[in-house]
Amino acid sequence: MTDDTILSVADLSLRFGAKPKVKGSGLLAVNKVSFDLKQGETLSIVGESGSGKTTIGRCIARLYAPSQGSMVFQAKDGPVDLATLDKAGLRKVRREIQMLFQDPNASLNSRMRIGEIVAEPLEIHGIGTKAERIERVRSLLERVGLSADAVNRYPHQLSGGQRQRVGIARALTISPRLLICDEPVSALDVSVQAQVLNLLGDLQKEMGLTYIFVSHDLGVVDYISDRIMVLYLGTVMELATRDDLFAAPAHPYTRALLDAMPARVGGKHRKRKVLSGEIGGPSGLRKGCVFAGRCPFATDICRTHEPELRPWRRRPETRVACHHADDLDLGSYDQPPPEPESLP
Amino acid sequence: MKPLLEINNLSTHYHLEQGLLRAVENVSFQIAKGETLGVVGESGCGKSVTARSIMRLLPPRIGRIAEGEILFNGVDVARLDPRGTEMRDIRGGQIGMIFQEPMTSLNPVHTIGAQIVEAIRTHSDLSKAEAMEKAVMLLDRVGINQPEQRARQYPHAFSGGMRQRAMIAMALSSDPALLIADEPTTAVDVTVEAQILDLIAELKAERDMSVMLITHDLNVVGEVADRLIVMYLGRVMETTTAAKVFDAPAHPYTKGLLESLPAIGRRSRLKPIKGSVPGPHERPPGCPFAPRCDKAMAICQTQPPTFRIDDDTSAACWLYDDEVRHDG
Repeated sequence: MTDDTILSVADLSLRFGAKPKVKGSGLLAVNKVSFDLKQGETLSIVGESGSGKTTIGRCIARLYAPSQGSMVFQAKDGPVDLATLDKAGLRKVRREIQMLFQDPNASLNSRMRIGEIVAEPLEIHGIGTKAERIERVRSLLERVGLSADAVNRYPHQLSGGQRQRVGIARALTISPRLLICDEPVSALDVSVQAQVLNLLGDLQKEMGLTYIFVSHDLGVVDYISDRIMVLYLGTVMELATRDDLFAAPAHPYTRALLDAMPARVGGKHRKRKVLSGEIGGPSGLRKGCVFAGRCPFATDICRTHEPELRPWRRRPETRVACHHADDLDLGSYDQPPPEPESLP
Repeated sequence: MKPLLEINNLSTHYHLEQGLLRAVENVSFQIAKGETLGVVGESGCGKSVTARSIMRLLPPRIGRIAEGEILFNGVDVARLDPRGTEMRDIRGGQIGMIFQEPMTSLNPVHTIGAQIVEAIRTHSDLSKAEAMEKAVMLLDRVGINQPEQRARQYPHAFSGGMRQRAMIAMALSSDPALLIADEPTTAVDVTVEAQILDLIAELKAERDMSVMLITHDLNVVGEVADRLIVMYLGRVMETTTAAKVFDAPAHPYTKGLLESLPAIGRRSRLKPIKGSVPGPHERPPGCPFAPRCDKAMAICQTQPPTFRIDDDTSAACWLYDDEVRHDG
């Protein structure tokens, strides 16, 4: 942990519906996840549906209480462990941690006017006088690109892109430091998606925000991230800088995700390589690597021992959870692996 | 050779409480035998209504084909009675369709096998046992393991990708000449998307089937389509080939879409199209894209005709009018 670390997550696990005393019961949504987040960076969490990416975001916002692990957040008044914080402590820290949701239809109260929606966090936290709040709302709406008359409108009178701008304004009214963005552009049309991505990027620079960006779209993630965490069945497969992840994927699952992405190489669409099978269920007791069942490189050890997340020999900044990673060269996103796909 | 499907000047209107909605306006395109045509556009562009017009699945009393013809194998589908035998023979028979969300198109209280059997028996004289045999064969063909056991299961026991495969099996059960796929991969994960697109391409090749692939994703079209049309607010903006669209988009809207698209390896700032798609009752006069277009001119207040650019490209944009070019 360095000085500019804003959040340090260690050994975070969440098991839904576990029966006490029954080992391995319930649904293991998040499995011993650890990472540090630096002030001002964007860390993306990618994975397929059911990978637990949304759940991790919600644990950090403490919409869920984790079953295990710590999440130390450097609040303005000193470090706090979000995992064990009581109600009063949470209320205070939520001034600094806000969330942006995927579906602005579902996350904006349809009976409130836009002005009220954006002002509500200020009221809840008792910030400013009424006149100050009105001024704050006005300037924020302007900053996110909405016209002044939006204040008196209702969510249904806005387009999907405008509603997501309201979601952004609302999340920023109380000047948080960490914004957890859960698929914020997935529900938007392509032309509007680009506007919102650019807006998020600009706001980050202006306000020094730190983002956790949850997404399934590697194209979007490549555009917005500093670092990327690849998740499979609640378990971190790889954590790398954006450039490293695409230039030198370390984990066979990362490689498979890249192969499945549509991409244009040399002026035309390359043929996607198909990963067979589908993501399995998260329940029950587990043994070995969660990806072993679909992995082309899996050997006996992968089925019996769970690999730890550790620095990769080829690029020490990358951390990977794979027994064979040090022996694999998986190419880059636009270059298939150089050697036949088997272990040396 | 005559195209399998030829749509000429199709307009489909919805009569809503709020007024008349011109969901599809003056749309023309063709699909040849064995060809995959991509239909690309954002929400509200009329791509799904076009498909529903072909299938005659418009909401009764509200949706109506106002004008134009839909020639399928020489028969004008637009003139048929939607409930008549001829149309029922085409819908689900000669034209199969798969939808975005397979869970809403599968019946939760019948087994997958029973639903495919029903589809088969609607369009053939096979006995129940024969139809079940064919259903199992089809499930096997679309890549479902243990098809006999799976046929006895209900939709809830299937994953998202398997449901979409089951839908494809059902659509293929009558050996259609044309498969209409409406956003078939939007609701599934990227690894499953690659599998489904592969499957559609394989089936198309082995059956010499035509495919109309509706999607909002230009990348999907670039991979699997031969030609494509780009739609915006009910109109066709551009007709082009998948090989050309990325390097030489003709219409400013198509260019805007491409510049908005994040892609791996792209480091330059995205250039979004300004504004947003207007609501269904706020359609601008003239070229529907004009209010968002950087190249808009005075003449764009008038709806442009379709200009032919070369053998396989055309665009509905005044930039391609000779007089406008000379004046500009």
